[in-house]
Amino acid sequence: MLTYSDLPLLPTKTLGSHAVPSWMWLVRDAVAKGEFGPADLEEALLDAVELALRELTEAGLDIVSDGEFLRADFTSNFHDRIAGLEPLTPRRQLGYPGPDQVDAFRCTAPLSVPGGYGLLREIELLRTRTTKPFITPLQGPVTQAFRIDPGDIYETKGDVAWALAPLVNAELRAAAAAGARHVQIDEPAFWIMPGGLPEMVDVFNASVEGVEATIELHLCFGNFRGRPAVSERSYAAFAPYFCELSADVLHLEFANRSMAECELWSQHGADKILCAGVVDVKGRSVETPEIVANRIRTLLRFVRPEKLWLAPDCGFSQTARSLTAGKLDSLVAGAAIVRRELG
Amino acid sequence: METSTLLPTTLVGSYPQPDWLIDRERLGERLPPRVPAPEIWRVPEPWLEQAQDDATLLALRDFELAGIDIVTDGEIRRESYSNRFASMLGGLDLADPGVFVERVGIENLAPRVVGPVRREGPVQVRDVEFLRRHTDRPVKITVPGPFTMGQQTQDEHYGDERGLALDLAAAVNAEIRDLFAAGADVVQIDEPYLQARPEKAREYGVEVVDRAVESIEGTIALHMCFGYAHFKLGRPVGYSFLEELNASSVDQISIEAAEPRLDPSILKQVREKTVILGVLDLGDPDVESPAVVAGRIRSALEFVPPERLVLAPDCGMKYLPRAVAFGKLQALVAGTRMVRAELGDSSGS
Repeated sequence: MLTYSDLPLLPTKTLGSHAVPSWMWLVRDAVAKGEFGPADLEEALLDAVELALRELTEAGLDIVSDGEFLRADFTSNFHDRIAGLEPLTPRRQLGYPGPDQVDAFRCTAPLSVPGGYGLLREIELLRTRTTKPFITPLQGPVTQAFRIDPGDIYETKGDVAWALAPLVNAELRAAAAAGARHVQIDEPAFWIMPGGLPEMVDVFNASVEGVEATIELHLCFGNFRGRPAVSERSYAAFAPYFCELSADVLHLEFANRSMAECELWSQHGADKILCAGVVDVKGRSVETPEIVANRIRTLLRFVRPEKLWLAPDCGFSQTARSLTAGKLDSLVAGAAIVRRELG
Repeated sequence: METSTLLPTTLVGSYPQPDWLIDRERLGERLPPRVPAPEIWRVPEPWLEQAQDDATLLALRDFELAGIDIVTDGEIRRESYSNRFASMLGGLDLADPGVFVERVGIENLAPRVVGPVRREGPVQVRDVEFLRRHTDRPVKITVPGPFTMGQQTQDEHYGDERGLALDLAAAVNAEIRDLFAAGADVVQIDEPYLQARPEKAREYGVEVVDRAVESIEGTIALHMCFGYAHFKLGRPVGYSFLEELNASSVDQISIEAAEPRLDPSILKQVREKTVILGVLDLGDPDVESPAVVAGRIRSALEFVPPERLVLAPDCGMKYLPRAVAFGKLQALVAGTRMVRAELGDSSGS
C-alpha cells in the first residue's frame, strides 16, 4: 500500500543505517570497560540519532531514517531481543573478514520476541524529531534465521525463518499502527531457504501480510566490514518471482555491480517501484554527481521515471563518515541533474 | 539579519556539553579555566573537532526545537567563555601561566602577559561559518571582552592595565570584524568583570569597550553578570556599573536578573539601548514554569518598552544538566509567547 502522494520525481532515500561518528567508537570502548552507565550510553545514542537525522536532512534526502543507532551492536541487535537463543562464540576472531567471524546463535526453545524488536520506540522518537517521511527498517525473518542454528528445536534454518515470520509480522503491524508509514524489510540472505526463491517469496509475504504501510523489500548481497557477503551477485534467478512479492518497492543494489542487470526490470518489474542503489557504500572513494547521474540514466532505459527511486546500495554502517557525507551529496546532486533533464 | 519578532529570545552564550564529550566532574570541580584545560575533554585528538562539531549541532537542535529566535553555537568548543580566544593571542604565555585572583577571591591560573598583545589570526571565524551553514536563524557569537580578559591575566609587560586592555580591545576589534564578515548577526562581548571590578571599570571600562567595537557595522551586545550560579557566593543587590554603559557604543546590554531577583526598576538606568534580560534563574535546579518567566518579563516591561527587550537566560548554561537547560529554554519560549500574546503579537506562538 503506497502511502506517498507528494514525493518529487526520482525521490532519494536512505537505506537506514548511517555512518558512525568517531566518538561513538570511544563510547563503545567506555561501555565495554564499564565506564559508562546505561543512561550515559542512552545520551550518546540519542545524540547519534539526532545527528544522523540532521545530516540526512541537510543533505537533502527525501526519505530519512534514525541512522539505526538505537540498535546495531552498540546496545543490542535484533537477535538479543529474541528469546529462545543462546549465543555461540565466533569460531575465529583474528585475521581477514570472513563469515566465521560473525556472531551466531543456537535455538534452545521455540522462538519469541517478548518485548518486540524495538521499532515502536524508534518510531515514537522519529515522530517528534522530523517532519520528513522516514523509513522503519527491520531485518527480515530469513536473514535473522541465517545466523541461527536450529539446534534441537527446529529442523532447518527455513523452519527458523517460518517461526520468525509471524513475530516480524506482529512487529510491523504494530509499527504501522504506531505511525510507521514506510517499512523496509532487509533480506540480504534471501537465497538460503530450503524451498528456494519461491519459499522466500512465501515467507516474505507472510511477514508483511496486513501491514498498512508502504512496503519495501531490500535485497542486497551483504555488507560485512565493507565487503559483499557472497561472490555471485545476480538477481537473475530471483527476478521472475518479483511480481509475486507483496512489496510496493524493491530495493536492489546496482552501483557496486557496475549497473549490471538493469534490464531485468523491463520484464520483471511489474508495476512495482524500483528503488535502485546508485551509490556504492562499499567503494572507498566518493563518486561524482555526474557518475551518479549516469547510473540513473542507465536505469531510465529500463524503468519509467515515475517508478524509480534512488538510494545507496545498502546502509552506511560500515562506511567512513567522511565518505558517507560525500556520497549522500552526490546522490542528491546526481538525482537533481537527471530531474532537470527530465524537465 | 535581525529578527523582527517582538520580544525575541536568545542565549547568553554557552549551553551544556554532552557527557560523552567532556568530563563534567573535572569541569565543575575547578574554577572556569583561563588557560588551556585540555583535561576536561573525554574525546582525544584527532577526533575532538568532529565531536565538538557534532555537539554544536546538538545544541543548535535544542535551540531550534525549543524555539529560540537568535541562536549561538552553545560555546561547545570552549573550555570557558574566554580561554579559547585568549590562548590564540600573541604576547600571552599560557603554557607557563601566572595567577590572578578571581572575583570569588580564589587564585586561579592566568595567562602571563609577556609582550605586546596581538591577534595573530581569526579564532572563531570557523565557528560562525559552521553555524551559518547549519541554521537559517539569526546567529549570535560571543567574544571575551577586553576589560575582563585584562583582569584575568598576570601582567609582566605593560605595567598599565588600561594599556593592556586597549591592546586586547584592538585584538577583539579585529576578531569582531571577521565574525560579522563570516555571517554573524550579533556579536556579544562578555564583560562580567565590569561588574566585578567597578572602580577600574569606571576608570577605563567604557573606553576599552568602545575601542573593541570601533567602526564596526553590526549589532553589538555586551554581557555582564555576577558570575556563574555554579560558583558564586551570596546574592548582590544591584549593578554597580550599568548606568555608565549608556555612554558606550554597544547596542544591547545583557544582564543577569532572575537569580538575584533584581529590582526591575534598575532597567530605567538603560535609557536607549536594548536590554537582553535574564529571565531564567540558573541557580535553581528546577525548571521554572512559563508563568514565572512571563511574570519576570511583565515586571521588566514596566520599565523598558517591548521594542527594547530581548529575553534570555541569566548567564551561560554550561554548568547545567542538559535536560534542565533544555527545559528552561522551553519555559523561556513559552513564557515569552504568553507575554507576546498579551501585547497582541502572535508571532511564533
